[in-house]
Amino acid sequence: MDAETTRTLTIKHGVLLKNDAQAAANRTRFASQRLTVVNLLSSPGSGKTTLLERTLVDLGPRIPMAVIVGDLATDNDANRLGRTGVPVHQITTGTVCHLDAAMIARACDELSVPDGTLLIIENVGNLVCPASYDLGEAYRVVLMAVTEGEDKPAKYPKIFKTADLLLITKVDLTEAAGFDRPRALQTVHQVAPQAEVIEVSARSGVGLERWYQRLWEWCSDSG
Amino acid sequence: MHELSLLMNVVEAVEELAARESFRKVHGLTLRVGVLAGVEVPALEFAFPVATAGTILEGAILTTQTVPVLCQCQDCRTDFEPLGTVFRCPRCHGLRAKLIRGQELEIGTLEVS
Repeated sequence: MDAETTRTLTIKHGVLLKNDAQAAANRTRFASQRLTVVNLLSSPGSGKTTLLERTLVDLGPRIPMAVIVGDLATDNDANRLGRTGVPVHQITTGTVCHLDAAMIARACDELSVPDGTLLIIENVGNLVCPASYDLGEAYRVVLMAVTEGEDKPAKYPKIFKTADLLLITKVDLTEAAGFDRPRALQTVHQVAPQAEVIEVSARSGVGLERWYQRLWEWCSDSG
Repeated sequence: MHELSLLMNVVEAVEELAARESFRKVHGLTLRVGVLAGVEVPALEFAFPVATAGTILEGAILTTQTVPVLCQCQDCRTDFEPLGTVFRCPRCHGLRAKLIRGQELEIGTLEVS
């Protein structure tokens, strides 16, 4: 070290401040366009795309919808969802394990969503990193499939503690997966007491009406 | 594994600060990492030399401080540090806890010249 004096600065600067500021800007924009924005989060393979596909088919004719899909590499999910006729925008994140608020702002510029749309963001399949990135969404929905076991909320508390709604998916497989439903519900209640829980199966259709009802109500609240 | 992109945010913030506070070199950096920040300290340490190479932070010593979780019970207003992932109030046993601390990831101090 040279003769220059060193000094210590105490600054307390949040590392995610930039993302938080962009998320706040997104929120203002969504409000001015009366968009209802839902951030869909889960681990890979928990059934986000299948549930979303069915939701678009069933609800698309009743509510204007659009989707932003985040994926590491392929556009398979976007292609699947695009076949429903709902506008889909794909964000390929490369090696980045989450979507951030700036990516959403750019996607909205390109997608030009009409006012009053229900915009669903399918985040990158990951239960850790996306939890830290506010996208400006109004609601966070976390999915957990019965095939993943009962203790996901205990293993990934952060994401479950920030969920407005928890969807337990693939409930048609409950028995085959040996899913201990009472234990799972108890874990959810203890780790994420704030979250509403809806049990669904995109295949059998169980619980979907309740899920649609919730989306419908969220849209009415923003409209 | 978003530690590398988080560190790139750190580098950006420190470079902006360098212009404001007029320093040219960072010798040490303390990051305060909440237990619920979703960040792995070993991954931060591993990525640090990569993220800082060729920047004002190159060669700086990284120190991390763990910030424990602090909650406030929304029923009886007791502040408490929960054990594990269930935030149960030790006084009234309620589960309606508000997180006060433990999610943050922030730059604490910088040693600069």
